[in-house]
Amino acid sequence: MKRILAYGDSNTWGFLPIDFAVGKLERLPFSESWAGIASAQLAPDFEIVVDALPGRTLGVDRPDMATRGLPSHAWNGLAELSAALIRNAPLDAIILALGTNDLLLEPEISVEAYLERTQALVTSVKAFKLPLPLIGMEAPMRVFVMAQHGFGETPTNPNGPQAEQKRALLVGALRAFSENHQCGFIDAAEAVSTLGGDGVHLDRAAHRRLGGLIANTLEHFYHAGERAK
Amino acid sequence: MKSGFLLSRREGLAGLALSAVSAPGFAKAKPKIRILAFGASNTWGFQPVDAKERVLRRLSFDERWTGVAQRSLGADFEIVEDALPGRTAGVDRPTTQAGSSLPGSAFNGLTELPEALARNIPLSLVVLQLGTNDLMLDATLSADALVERIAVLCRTIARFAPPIPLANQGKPMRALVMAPTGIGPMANNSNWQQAEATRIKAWPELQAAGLKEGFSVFDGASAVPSPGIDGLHFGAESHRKLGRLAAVAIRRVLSD
Repeated sequence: MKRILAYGDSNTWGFLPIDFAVGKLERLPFSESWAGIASAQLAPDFEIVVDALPGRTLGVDRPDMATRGLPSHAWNGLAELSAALIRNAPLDAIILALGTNDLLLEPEISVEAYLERTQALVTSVKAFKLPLPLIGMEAPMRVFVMAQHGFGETPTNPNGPQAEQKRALLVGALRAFSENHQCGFIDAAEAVSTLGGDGVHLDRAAHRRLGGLIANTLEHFYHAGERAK
Repeated sequence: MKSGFLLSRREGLAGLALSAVSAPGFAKAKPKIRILAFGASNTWGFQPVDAKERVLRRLSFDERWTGVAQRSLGADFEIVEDALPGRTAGVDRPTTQAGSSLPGSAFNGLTELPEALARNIPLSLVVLQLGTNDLMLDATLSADALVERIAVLCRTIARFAPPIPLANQGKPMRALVMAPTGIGPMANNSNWQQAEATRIKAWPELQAAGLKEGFSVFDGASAVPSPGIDGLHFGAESHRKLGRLAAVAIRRVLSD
């Protein structure tokens, strides 16, 4: 069985859209999250495990979260990556399901700067080594880059429209990046082109569609690899 | 601009109250009682390294004490893990440690606990399996100091306010401490006897601290009297025994 780490933010964690009328926050159980849905579809050949934190970025600290009880680097996906890999080893691959928070925090981020953050994560995954080889884990891991899903209306966040424009602009660049770096590529917007709810968080139906897309992508990627051998 | 969470804590708490009123509304699958195992190498499933072979082995979830406890507790419960070999109850590791890709602070259980809770909520209970590495790093550590480190972790759990105020994390989490398990003879570390003596001395103090502060304890060493061949790491049989003991302790705490 191949273990794959879903390394992500609130949308990997299963953070449901906020109902502003009720003000109630809810977490989807694993089985209903995209990772759980993809894992069930791919079982028993694959198992997807989750390491997710709502608010996590590709690679910037979050001093804006200072009141949330965690150090600002705790939200930095690059700073936290190695510990997440050790916690979840042995792993065959990692899905980098990040970027939404980078876009919302900094919608003016350039394509180059976004790609650099992605590149730093990919480099860090490829360079990752345990002190001794771990049975069941072959280095380097495979990497899947996920271009983020489409944003909807974000009633409480004025950055939403600009973030959505930047996201759309990034899809082609991330696809080319993934090809150049021998990474798998997932365009989440193929499954979730736009969102209702709070405009940022996937609802149950979106998780199901994304889970299906990811399962198909993984199957295709691994089968193509088998054929190439 | 904020993203990710869009509610203030106050609004979230209002939401909690509302959801409590409308509690019968859980028409979907019954939510499981979630338990986090926050620990070190013996929760990770680390196996003693053979000096000639020089490879790492990790027991699978089914073989680890956590997986054994999961089977024993059944489908109403969900045990999730956050384990890191080398993790301490509350001290950084020396940064010069060979082969580690992590900063010394990443091994500090107290520093890392809030993030682990944020990743894994909603939770009813956190089981702590920590303390042995503190003794191995500093054999002169007193039993008092060790117990205080564990008590600080328990206080952190009891007081934890999720960064995301969550509807199904209404009640404060409870803490269950697995007393540090036995430390046995080690070829390359002459401190083990002193560490083992402190560990034994700490057990009644840990029980007393639990009574005083309101956390629960159970004695992991009663299930695993002799640690693995390297003096620290349990094999599969020890994990089976420990998992069954942990399941009994978890049931007892959650039925209180």
